[in-house]
Amino acid sequence: MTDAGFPPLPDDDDALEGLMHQHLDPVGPSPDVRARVLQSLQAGLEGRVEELARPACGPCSKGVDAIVEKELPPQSGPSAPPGFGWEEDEDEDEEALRPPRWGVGRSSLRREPSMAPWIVLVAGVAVAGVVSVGLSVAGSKVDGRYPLELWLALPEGDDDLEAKLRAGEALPPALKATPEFSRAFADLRERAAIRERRSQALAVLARLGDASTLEERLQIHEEALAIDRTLTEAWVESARLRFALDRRAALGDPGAEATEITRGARTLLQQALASGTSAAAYVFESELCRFERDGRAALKCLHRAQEVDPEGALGALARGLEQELDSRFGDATTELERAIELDRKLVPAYLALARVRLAEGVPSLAIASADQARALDPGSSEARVLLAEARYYASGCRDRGVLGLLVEAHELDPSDSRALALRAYARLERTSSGVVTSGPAVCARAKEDAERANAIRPEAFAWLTLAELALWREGQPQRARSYATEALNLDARRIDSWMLRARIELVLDAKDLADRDLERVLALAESRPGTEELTARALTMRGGIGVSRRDYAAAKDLLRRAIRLDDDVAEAHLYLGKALHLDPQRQAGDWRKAEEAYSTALSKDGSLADAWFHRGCLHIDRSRSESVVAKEWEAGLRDLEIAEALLRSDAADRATFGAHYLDFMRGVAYFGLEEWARAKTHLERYLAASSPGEDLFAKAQDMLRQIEVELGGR
Amino acid sequence: MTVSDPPTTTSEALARRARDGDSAAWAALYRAHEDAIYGFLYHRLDRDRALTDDVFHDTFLRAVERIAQFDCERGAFGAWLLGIARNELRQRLRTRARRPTEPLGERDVPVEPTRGGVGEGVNLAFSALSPRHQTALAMKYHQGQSLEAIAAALDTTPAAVGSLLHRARAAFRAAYAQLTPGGTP
Repeated sequence: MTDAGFPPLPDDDDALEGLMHQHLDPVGPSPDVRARVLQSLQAGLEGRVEELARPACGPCSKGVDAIVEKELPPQSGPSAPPGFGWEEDEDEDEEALRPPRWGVGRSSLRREPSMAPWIVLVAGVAVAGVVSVGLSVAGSKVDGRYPLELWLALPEGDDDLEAKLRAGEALPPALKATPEFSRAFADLRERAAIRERRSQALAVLARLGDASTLEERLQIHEEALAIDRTLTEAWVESARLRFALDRRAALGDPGAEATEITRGARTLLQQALASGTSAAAYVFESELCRFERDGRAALKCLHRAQEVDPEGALGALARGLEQELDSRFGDATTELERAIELDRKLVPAYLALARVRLAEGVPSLAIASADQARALDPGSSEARVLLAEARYYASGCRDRGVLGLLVEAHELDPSDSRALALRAYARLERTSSGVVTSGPAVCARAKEDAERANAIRPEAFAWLTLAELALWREGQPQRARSYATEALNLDARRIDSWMLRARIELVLDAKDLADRDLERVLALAESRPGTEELTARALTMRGGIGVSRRDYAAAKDLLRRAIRLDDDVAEAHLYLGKALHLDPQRQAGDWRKAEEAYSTALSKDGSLADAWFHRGCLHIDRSRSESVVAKEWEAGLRDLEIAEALLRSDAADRATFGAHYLDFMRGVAYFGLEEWARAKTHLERYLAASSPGEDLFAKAQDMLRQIEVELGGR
Repeated sequence: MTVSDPPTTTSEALARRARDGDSAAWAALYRAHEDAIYGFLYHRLDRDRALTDDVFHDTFLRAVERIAQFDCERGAFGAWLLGIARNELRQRLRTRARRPTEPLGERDVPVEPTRGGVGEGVNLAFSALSPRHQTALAMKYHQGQSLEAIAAALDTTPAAVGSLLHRARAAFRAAYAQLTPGGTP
């Protein structure tokens, strides 16, 4: 226990629960209350039996109101019906002084022909009782407050208004002249009028089922809102419709700013918020902010939605959307699932959940959410786009059926730039290392889709597609870099975009920039499940950069991590082989490990020209050592021959070594084999293709001088 | 045992008998549900015992009046009874709201932090919570009600009750921390 105050609470919620259970003051009715209630129950039961025993007042099909009129006793009649808390033995004065027990329930004033006759009878009598008490007392106690209070206490549910108005009209003039009555009666009348307007507006909205176009739907909403301007949800829906129409209209105006497109919807949303606080309005406003790419404003709207509906489905949706914007995907998933539990038809929650699961890297889970959104709202293009994206990634980018879904999405909403952008991206086929392999016709269609998407609204998928085409098909790495940067500016959470730009930087020989992008890839992948292969590729690329910087120790560490994550990445084995092969600090046995690594790389990918080349070099390097007895010159030459063949094939794109090095290494091998003429030919070819600044230039010249001596000696 | 199903089959069988005017069945139903209904009303009425007694009394009278409407196919008797309690409560609060504000009573005087046992602290912190938080915590941890029963009482869903309880516990911890000088929520 602290010196002043109370002992600290346990941190554990279970222990806290135990503490509450143990210490909270007991709550329950006192013995007196219990006795009173049981007594009243008994009295009530007896009263009901008596009522049932009385002659029926006729069939109840006329409803309660008819019974009230029939049963209304004269003003000077009996003060209260028996039973249900109205004790028969009290006299009229005592009854009037006792606080009312609100003997009329809401449902007893409603017309319910199927209601059991005795209930209608009892309810009717109860109403009559209340009114009669009021009226009878009013006759003699006009100055008393209770008759008016009895009337004031009558229920005021939507279904009770008319009955209460009629009962009010029946009160004596003296009571009706009181300011309290006038205020309450005027208020009731206003509420009745509002109710009437609302039912007329709802009748107009009932025509929505016949509307087939967005324009018709908007017109119906406008008609309904002209009758009742307090229909907040109708304002929000009309804002949605206005936004959809304005987006389509903007297709003809490629220069339209996002804020111009959202202006009409925002005006309608202001009307929604003027008619009452609405979480739905704030949630939709956040969508408009996102469309305008103003995340900070979107967050503000989402906070307001949470304030309006802290415990409801929309509040949970708003929390989920906020967490999605903050990239707190785990929390977002929890909140969105809660929103769906609270409202199984909340389409925006399913859509957001699909987006979150895609961002988390679990597309297989996104499929169900997107599919549910599509089922609930068959007209949603967004649901189709998300479903297509989820299926595309869940299938390892192999599901070609998604193109059909994207065509449907585009037809549903031609202004949906995401449908076109994703279609562009999904059209292309790629190797496991991201090289585009699609033919010219497919590439042209993908480019067309991407450019159309960007003309509507810049999209990350569209920029990515254009970047890939510029890099792999058009030989424009500088342009590819700028496109990839556009993609990243739009969505910095896309791992694909960072990976592609890293590849582009490597092509541009900007290793530092590539390394930085790869660090982002690794940071993003760390928090996402199922990214082992991607992480292994990023580590491999960083390992390759390490090898090229001759930082062999770091490179070996990165590459071993890559292989532990995914043993199938051939390049990881290749670079590990190079690191072991080329490291001047190598240990005994490292060359044997290097050869194994090269061989493993080739077993994974036999078209990897670099692996053939470097293994050939390793054979030759090992044969050059004077201590080695078993020379491998021929084995080296065989590997170099395959590497050269691959250089002339489609696999040449992936080769990173220069063809003239093949000549150098062959020259060295023939030199070792003492085939002087062949050695001379290859070394001269090498010197012709290289420059004096290269490391090997002097070595080649030196070997040629020795060859001349050997040839001259003969 | 929960409000919505203290033991369900018995409650429903009793309700059928109660519909036929069986006073013993009513007494049994009353005993089975009195604590839950009273606790619910007590916390929703800001721990005002006198008012709770009245609404509690009226709830059971209204139940007698409407027992014919109870359909055990549509839900448990406890949930139905809680619905009646909620309606009574709503009506009473609405009426009370129209009346002039009552002067502050003794229960509204802030309690000075005192050195005391944990039980005292628990009750003081609890009294500082909103009625909704009090109701949720009391029903869950004091009366051992299920999430479904609490949801029925608070007119929300079991999932929302889970969230509500989380916030209520946090509010409780914050209120408790403030009872200790230098304590932070």
